[in-house]
Amino acid sequence: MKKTFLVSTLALTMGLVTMQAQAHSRWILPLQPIVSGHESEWVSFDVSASNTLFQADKPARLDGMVAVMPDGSQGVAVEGYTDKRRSVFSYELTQPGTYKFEQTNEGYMVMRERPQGAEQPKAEGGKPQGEGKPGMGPQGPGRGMRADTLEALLAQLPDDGKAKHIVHSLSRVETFVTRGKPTDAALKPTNKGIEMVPLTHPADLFTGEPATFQFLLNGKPAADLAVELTPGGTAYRNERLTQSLKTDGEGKIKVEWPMAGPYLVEVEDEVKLSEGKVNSERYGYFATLVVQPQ
Amino acid sequence: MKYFVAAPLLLAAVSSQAADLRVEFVVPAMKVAEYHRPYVAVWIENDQRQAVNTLAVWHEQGKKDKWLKDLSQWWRRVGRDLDGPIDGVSGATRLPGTYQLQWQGIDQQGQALPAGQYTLSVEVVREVGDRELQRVSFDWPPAEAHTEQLQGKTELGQVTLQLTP
Repeated sequence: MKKTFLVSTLALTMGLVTMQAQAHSRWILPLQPIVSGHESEWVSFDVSASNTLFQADKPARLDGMVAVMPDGSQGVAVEGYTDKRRSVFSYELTQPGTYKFEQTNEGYMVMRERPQGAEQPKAEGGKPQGEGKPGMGPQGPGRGMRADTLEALLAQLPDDGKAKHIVHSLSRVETFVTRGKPTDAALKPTNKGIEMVPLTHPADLFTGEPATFQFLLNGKPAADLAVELTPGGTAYRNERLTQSLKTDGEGKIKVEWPMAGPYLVEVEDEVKLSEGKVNSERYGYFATLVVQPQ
Repeated sequence: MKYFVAAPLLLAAVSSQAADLRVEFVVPAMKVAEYHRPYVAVWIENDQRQAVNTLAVWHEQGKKDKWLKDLSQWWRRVGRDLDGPIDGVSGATRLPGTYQLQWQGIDQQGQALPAGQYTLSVEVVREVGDRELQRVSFDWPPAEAHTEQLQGKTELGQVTLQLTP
């Protein structure tokens, strides 16, 4: 399930990653997460999708990247450059306080639920049937179609009388940068999809000091949600050191930091719906947090 | 041994309180090809880890405070809340040597602080070098004369805390 979701989301939102890709974690790495100085300052970011944190692998487009300013307003569109294996952008911190840089991706697609363990039907030559033809995924008519809105998707669907499994996907990739005194306005949730409320401020993450985060699903505390945190530098050690946590009844987790550095927070969830045209909601959340040494 | 007496010592000298904390610390000389004088912060925290008084912040002047964040604990506890330099406390970086600062139980505004447990922090960070933080807790006001010594590891030599009732 996890793999399917990630692949779909990536394919849907990035366009650059094919359906054959394996699951990859998505991230925005701030190169200057904490900034001092009383004048405006430029900060830079790497944006990529990779399993080796934080080494760029698959280029992630910058489409839809926004800066939420310390006063809560949305900053001007973030412009940058998409390279072969990452995108880069810079942003001038004109206001003092905490900024959130985020990219949300939303879409509707047709997927067919595959019974667990079942293999894809193969045509002669071993290639999945219908592969490569628009609207003809390996699972039959309509499979693989996608659109930004449900209406647009429904308008495209072939009227063949067969049930379609429609998935609504909503994912968010974000990170935080603070110049001077930390502020909270940019951290306010939008109550859409999975969001993290950093009860411990992102500028206050230090080794030896546990941090608390609350997760919301569409604005409500998300209990029993699986949250993974992995410290960067996975290429240079043998243990991945991923912490797999579950949110409590209030949607909260308490995190201990085994080392300083950037961490990727990853959350995925699926909610099956019994009514309406959409059969399931798939949510993704990725955040880069930077932990400082004592 | 040569002593450099920082400004707070002079200010503190006019205080009427008798009890007194002296901190002496060594900024060691480094045999390195590229030497930059370290940034240094010395401050006092209460038992809630709130900074109550910064005794010294030495940093490169005229650079928009751009690297003050590298004194990451001081920055987080004090620096990021400030609108500008602290009079008589912020100063230029200094050469290796032995330095002495004094504190007499007052906050940054000169008001006497309540009795309790406090912690002295000395943070040093050097460009192309290491960062070091030494912390030592003590009761204030001191009941009796007391001296405590810490041995720094890299960017700090010996740190001596001397309490006088």
